[in-house]
Amino acid sequence: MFFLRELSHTILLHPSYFGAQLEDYLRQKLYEDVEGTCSGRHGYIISVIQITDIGEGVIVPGTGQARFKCRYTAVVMKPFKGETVDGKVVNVNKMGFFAMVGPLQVFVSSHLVHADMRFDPNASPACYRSKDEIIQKDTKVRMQLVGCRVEANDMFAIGTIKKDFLGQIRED
Amino acid sequence: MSEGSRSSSPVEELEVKSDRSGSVEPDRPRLGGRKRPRAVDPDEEDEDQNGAGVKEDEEKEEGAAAEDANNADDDEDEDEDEEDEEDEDEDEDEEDEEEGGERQRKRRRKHKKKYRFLDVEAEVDDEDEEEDEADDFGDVAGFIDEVPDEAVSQDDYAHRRLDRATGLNETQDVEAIVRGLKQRHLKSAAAKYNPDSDQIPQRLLMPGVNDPSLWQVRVKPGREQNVCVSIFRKVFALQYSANPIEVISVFYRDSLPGMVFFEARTSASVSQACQGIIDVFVSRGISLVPIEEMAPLLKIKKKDVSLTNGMWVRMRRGKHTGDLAQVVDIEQITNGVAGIKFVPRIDLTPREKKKDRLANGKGAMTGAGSKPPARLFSYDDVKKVYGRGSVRPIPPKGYIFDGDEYIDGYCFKDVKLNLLLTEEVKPTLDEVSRFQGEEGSTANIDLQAIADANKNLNASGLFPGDKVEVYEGEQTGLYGTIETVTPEVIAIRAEGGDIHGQIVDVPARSVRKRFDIGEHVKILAGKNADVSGMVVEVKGDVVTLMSDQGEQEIKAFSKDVRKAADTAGGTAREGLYDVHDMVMLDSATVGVITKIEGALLRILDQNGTVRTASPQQVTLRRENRDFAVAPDSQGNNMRVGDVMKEVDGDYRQGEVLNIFRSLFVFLFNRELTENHGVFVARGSSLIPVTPKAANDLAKMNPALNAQLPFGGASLMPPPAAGPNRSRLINTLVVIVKGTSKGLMGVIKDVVGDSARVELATNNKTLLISMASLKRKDPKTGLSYPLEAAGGGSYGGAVPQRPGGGYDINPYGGAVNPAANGGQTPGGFGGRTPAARFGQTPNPYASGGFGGGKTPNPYAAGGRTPANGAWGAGGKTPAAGAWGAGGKTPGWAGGGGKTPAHGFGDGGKTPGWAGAGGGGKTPNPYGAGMAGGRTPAPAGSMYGESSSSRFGNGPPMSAPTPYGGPTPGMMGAPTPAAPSNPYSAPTPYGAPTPYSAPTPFAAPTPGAALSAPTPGVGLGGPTPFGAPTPYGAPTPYAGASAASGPAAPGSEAVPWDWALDFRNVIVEIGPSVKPSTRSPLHFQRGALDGQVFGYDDIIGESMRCVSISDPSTSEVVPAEYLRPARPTQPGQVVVIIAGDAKGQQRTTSYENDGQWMMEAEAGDMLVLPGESLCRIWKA
Repeated sequence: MFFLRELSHTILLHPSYFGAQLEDYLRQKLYEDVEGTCSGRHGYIISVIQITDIGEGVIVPGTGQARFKCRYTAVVMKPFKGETVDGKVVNVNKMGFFAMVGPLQVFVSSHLVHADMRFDPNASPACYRSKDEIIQKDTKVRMQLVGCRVEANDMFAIGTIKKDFLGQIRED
Repeated sequence: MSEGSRSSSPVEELEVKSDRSGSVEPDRPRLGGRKRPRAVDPDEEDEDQNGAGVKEDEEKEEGAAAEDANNADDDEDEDEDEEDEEDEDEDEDEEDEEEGGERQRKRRRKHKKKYRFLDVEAEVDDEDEEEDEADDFGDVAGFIDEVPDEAVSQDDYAHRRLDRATGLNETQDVEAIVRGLKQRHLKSAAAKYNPDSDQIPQRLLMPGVNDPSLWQVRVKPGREQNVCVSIFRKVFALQYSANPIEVISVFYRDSLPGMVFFEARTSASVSQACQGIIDVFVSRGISLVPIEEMAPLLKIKKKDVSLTNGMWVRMRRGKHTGDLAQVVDIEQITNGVAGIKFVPRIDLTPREKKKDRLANGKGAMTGAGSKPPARLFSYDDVKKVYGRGSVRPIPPKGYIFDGDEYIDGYCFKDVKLNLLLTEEVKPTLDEVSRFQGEEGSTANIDLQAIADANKNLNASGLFPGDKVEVYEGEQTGLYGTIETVTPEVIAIRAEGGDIHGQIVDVPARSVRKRFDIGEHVKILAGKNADVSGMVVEVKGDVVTLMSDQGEQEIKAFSKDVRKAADTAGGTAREGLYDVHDMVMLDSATVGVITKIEGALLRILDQNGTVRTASPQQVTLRRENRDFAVAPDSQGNNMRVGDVMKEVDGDYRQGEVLNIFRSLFVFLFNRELTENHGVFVARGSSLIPVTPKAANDLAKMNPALNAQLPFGGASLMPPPAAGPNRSRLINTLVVIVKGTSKGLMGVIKDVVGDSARVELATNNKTLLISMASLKRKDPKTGLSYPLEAAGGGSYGGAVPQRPGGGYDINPYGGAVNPAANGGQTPGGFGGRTPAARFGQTPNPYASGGFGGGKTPNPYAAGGRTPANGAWGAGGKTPAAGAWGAGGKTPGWAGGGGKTPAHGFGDGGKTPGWAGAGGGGKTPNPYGAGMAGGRTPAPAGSMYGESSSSRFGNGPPMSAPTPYGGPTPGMMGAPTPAAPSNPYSAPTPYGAPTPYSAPTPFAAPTPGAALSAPTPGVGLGGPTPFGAPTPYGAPTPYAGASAASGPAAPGSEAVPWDWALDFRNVIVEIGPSVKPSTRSPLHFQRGALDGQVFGYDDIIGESMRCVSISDPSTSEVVPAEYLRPARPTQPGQVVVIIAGDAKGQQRTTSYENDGQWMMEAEAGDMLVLPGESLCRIWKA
């Protein structure tokens, strides 16, 4: 699920940047530092929408660097148990398949696919196949998350397609 | 039971207890008929409820157990016959003894009951009073219950007693009461033995010195009972004879196999009793049991094994020893026999063997020696081997073979209990599933069977807070969370259903832990202990989880699994250490923990070897993840957490886990199976997967950058202590001092300041100080100082100093290109000792032409190709490679193949460094001299110069890694190169002299090239990079992704090309600036793809006017601009890259991405479209 969150980030800026373009540097650095990162608490920071407050620079004694505490609003993505998400399969093996939901990796175990869906190791690429569905690399799938493991800077989820309306998403 | 028989000997009373039920009990009559007064029970309960004063605590503790026991007794009493009932009573006695307290209580109760039939009023002040006071109501209730018809008198009695009690309290003063109480308790504490009493205080039953002693005699294990019986008979038989055996009792304990105990006054009596009885080992001594051990001896109680159907056991003897079996029949359990089912081990070896065995007098199935494999009974197989006659079918589908019954492939057999191991069975999941059938049928694992396998699950695996499910008993199906845990009973707070929220007591054995799919759990026991993962399936008792560490599924019993914190990091922690922690193995070796296996750490050390160590053998390295930095192959910093890729070898990719000494980088990629995804690489052989902006500001600070000596590439020069040993190895030397003076030899090894020299004369190897060695040129015979030799041969332009070769960057200011240039021919000439150069082919010397794209293998500091090359030196047919054109894949930074067309004499010229991304590039030198596929710049270069400079001699094959690759040096001698397209490209495109288009016609491009020190500040990208013709990967292989200026054919256009031109048509796209901190897209991509005319320059940005809408103008930084390629013939273009940079031409026709220019001044140009840009306002 996506949220708008007000977050803050501390930037240490080298004195050589103190100048007219200081703010630009800060902005740039903020974008670089936070966009695409993941924190267990907030989820994946997808994009910084707005920089609320660039902060006042405080010189750190000793190094001469300035510390800015920027506050910004960002779109974050945080997966939740029970959430239904769409993703793209990146890897299929006999244990199940991995799908990426944006930055989030979701594993769907072979136990969590329909019983009539079988792993077909001989197909190229390997796939899960049932009468009317085929899941292989790059297939788009809809999954429901049944569990999330959240680490300090990473997330991992387990999904199921063993329910109605889940599974392969057809383009047509 | 009479008082006498009871009290005569404590041991006697106990002896029968050890007998199994149903066994012979010769002294039963003596024990007869004491029956517990069951009618008291209600009373007991009342007491429990109202219990007050001193007894309360004690009773609370025991209430439940006592009640249970009583209930059980009652139930069983109903079912069983008289004899069994007696057993019950005996059991109960045992219980009483074990729990002395309880017994005391009961006894007291019995006292009280006794008084019911006595004249209580006559004993007002007796010890019973306190009880009366305390248990007023209990007593009354008891009476009412017991004898309802006496209600009236009871009532009367109660009133009177109450009156009396109040009266007493009023009349006595406090001291008196206290005194009285004390007195009373004193008395009770010193209760005397009363022969009339039914009950005897436990203490008084304890044996003392005056009692007969207890003697222990060894017997054959398993024969204890028979021995006892024989002795009984013997004693009885001789009872009334002249000399009776003075043994008071004899007994054995199940818990103490192989021992029989005698109660006797003297050991002589014991030996007399044992005389003539088989299986008794009197010779092993008759030992006296110390008095203080007598009671404990009898207290040792064999844990009651109650076999139930479906329970797992193991077999103890025979060829099935250790095999898992399942109890299927317990009807004969009282006879010590249980029916079990197991997978048979039938010997299916040929029949003759069996016959032999039979002939030997052994049974068919008692094969000594090897155990036949366990497999299900197959009628056909057995029939084939043993013949039809040996197997007899029994309907419906069983078989009798060799006396055993086989149904469904399993053997069903009644075995004695002592052949079964019932404790610590612990069937593994493997065994159970094998028992259930072979691999294929795992699907139909009998869940019940697995549940049974865990029957032994006691509360040990359960903790408050665990979610459990009750799967048997009356609460079946109940879910709940554990509140409290006692060994047998757990209290759970029910969830759902009618009793939601209530706390329910259930037996610990009938619950199992419950897990939800997706839950993060950890395995506590079993072979996968400490693995954590997420649950993907729960089937009965089996939890399947997806391991966090490796991509694998693991099955475990739910009893062995525990919920783990979601945020635990998914790693198993063993004390101090965590997976992926960096630990010190010794002062110079570090490793990263790849797996924690129980108490063992599996560690991958910096050299790539895997070790196993215990936590005690390692120390945790100081946490430096936040600070550790290492230069990557481009000289950019990499930090922990960056995703990097190898530029050679396996091209493995992974996230940086840790960095050691800025050299060794540990990476992790969960998709690798080896070492659980951890691998180690040199920092200098890594490249970021995503061209990432240098994060540290220091990097961006031009001032700081300028300080970095070598373009930041080697922030930390490797220790340059002493001579470089590998460089000297295989050097031809002459000994100039000492006894061996004058002898020649080859250095084989360098040890400190000495070298091991293999003499040419007599094939001896001597250890000689390097001070007494001089380098010998095999060609000229001249001697040079060992260390300075290379330098000397290169004329002052030595990019190599003794011991300092590593950190010399050819781009560094240290090189004096001009000087180099001038002297190079000499350097390459015969003067150079072949021994020195022959070993390090440097085909890329030519790379130097490309404008500073010289691999400097040493700049990286760490492992250098030179090492290998040196080592291999002598054997390397360098010349051959040159001449024969052995195809040598070179490792360019990573671009694909970049054949550049149409250069000079070359046919196809594989360009180096193209994309800088790490592709394979065929060695342009393979064909070098032949000139067929001539790498244009280099080829021509060599072609021109080979005769003059290189000649054909060995030196020619010996481009030195040290001197060779300096651009200046190489550049200088090529003034004559007719069209050296390489002279022009500006390697870095930075505003250096290079950026100016250098016409190929420049008379001394080499000089021009050599003048600047392009490496500075640019991280020394060397697109021609390290490739060595022999395929040895070099740390510099990576070259710079950004700088490929040398390759005329590819994206050689520098990002800031636009700064050099005006009035051209540009297109806006993603930033092409390497290592930029700017956003990838200008204005977030709003203008991407639009075509603008480039009007004016403002600082580093351009003012651009939209072609489609001239009123729109944007100021765009140069890095977003890319040239508008010619689209059709006849367009006026400017050449923005390549040696003709700056020339204005008109396109003629296009072929395969190459544009032929209209001829001008007798010159025809074919250029790739990439290096052309349309002119805006012609």
